[in-house]
Amino acid sequence: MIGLTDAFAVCGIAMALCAGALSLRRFGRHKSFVLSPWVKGLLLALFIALLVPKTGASIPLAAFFRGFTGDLSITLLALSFWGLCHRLFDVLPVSKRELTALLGVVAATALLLYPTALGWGDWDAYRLGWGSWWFLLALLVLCGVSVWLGLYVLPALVALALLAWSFGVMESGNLWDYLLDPWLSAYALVFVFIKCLQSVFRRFVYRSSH
Amino acid sequence: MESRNRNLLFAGLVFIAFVAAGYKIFHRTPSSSFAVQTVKAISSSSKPFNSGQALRFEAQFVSSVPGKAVHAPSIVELRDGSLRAVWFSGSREGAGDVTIQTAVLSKGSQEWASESSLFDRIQLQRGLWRYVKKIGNPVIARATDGSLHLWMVNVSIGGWAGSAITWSRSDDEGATWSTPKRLVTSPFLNISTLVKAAPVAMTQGQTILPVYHEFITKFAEVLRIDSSGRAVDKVRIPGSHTSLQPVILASNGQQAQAFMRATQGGQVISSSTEDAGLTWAVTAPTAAPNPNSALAGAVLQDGSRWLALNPTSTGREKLALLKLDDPAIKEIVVEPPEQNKSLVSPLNIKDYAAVLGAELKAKGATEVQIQAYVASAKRQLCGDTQCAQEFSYPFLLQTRDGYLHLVYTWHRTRIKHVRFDLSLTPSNQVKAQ
Repeated sequence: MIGLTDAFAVCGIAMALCAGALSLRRFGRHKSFVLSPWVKGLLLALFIALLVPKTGASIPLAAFFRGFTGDLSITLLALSFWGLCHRLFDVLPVSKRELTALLGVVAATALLLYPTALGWGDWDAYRLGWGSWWFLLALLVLCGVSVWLGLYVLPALVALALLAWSFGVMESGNLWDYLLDPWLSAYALVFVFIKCLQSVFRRFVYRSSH
Repeated sequence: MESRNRNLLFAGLVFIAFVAAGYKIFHRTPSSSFAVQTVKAISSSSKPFNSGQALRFEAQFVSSVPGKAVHAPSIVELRDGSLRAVWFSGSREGAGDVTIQTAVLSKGSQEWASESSLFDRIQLQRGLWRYVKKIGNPVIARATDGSLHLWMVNVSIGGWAGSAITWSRSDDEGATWSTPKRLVTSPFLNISTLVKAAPVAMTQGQTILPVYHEFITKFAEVLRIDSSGRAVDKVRIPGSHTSLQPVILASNGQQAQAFMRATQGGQVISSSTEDAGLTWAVTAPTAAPNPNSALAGAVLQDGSRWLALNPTSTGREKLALLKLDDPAIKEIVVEPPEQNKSLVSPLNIKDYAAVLGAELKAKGATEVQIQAYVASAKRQLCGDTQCAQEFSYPFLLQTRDGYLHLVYTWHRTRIKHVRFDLSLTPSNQVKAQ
């Protein structure tokens, strides 16, 4: 019998994989194609296929992938779900400003968390995630500043992660695992890197033309 | 109006989330003290020890399936005074067919029963709901609530550096085990936390599990586990960047010393804590040599502290006990046996096979079994012409009857158990066998 945390993780991976499949470039460019019933049917079939136990190993394909991906963070799951809703039900997408701010914070946080957790120095940022008032205060300040700047997606995702952590929805007892994961961090770092390159390129072009 | 409702919903969500998280932090399991041993001696075994030596001992093999690659044993005392051992066994270390094996030493006959399988890769895969590639080091111990806990290393991606720890619990002395669960200890795909040494029991049902990290860099850590088996804190031992496999010896409720395998420098590395493991001192090398091999430790009922280790700067061809804080006792050599002391290492393949065969035969193995055991050892420890003897991965435990038990990997082909009677204090350089 599958436990709550395992069921949540396996379904989350299946959902994120479906969201990833839908965001493929070919689908993204042709909105009408995405909304066609057979694409929805295909997506449902993929979701079910990922959750059907594989013969022999007796675990679903999504659980098989879990061995490689680890459990996905609440933040990534929420963004994947939002992406799915956007493409399937025409829900408004996350605005560019909100997404840039969110991925910027994720990228900066990842640069602090992963090196220290993997042994860069003796201080380990991951330890804060077991339950630290200072960490909670930092998140509160981050949310406050975001709202002050008119950004609401980041505080909403932090709130979702905090709620999920409080109720132990995931296998991990560490808050960091609810806030971000290596896949979201890698995406954010690439996103920020490209944004920085674009910014430098624009400045270079601007100076050249003046 | 719609916008106002949305704002209210947003504010409510954020408020409830922070209140819930604050409640969780407020009720977080507080740190506790090391549990001090309070066990009383029970009647000793009826089987006599070897006599006529300064240190009384007896040795026998634990594992009983010939031809396997076996490694990383640990033991726990059962309620009736018998012992349960666990180790991993398969066609080779890291192979997909590796299983966690177990055997029980009868209190009465003092003989090990046939081994049986506890967990295999597919069982873990089904229990953990994820792909599992291979299984490694198992560690068994009794929790303060009386149940047995088994932690084991397993890998989904890459080599041992990609390991995570899985645990299971038994309420019937190891006859049946709960569905395995994963300990989440790292933010990076939860990889690279491994276990080798015995845990330390804490008050309030907590356990301190010494663990280590191998991905990109190496370091030693201490994991705090609550009474339900979940990880609730992890502390890195500062300066342990060349250290692995910490062994923790607690002196009292607050003080403990950690001893670690050194991947560089050739000396056992040490650290200490004064606050029950919340903070650790920066590591420093000790006088004891270490050839980048695992060590074991135990604090006995009389408060004396013992280590089992390979007391050389290279190779794992010598295994010894070391009593800390007692300059009168330098080391008690356990392996190699006295009759093999004069053999020059590394041995040529023929001599190596003869040495192993002689000991296996003396312990009752048949010719067919001897051939399978020796073939397994040669496969793992021999080059084209020469073989290195290996006595490694020790694990120490004192039972309630006062005897000190040592289990270790014997030439990677069998698990060996040595029982010591420490009632006679040995003098310098006493030979165990």
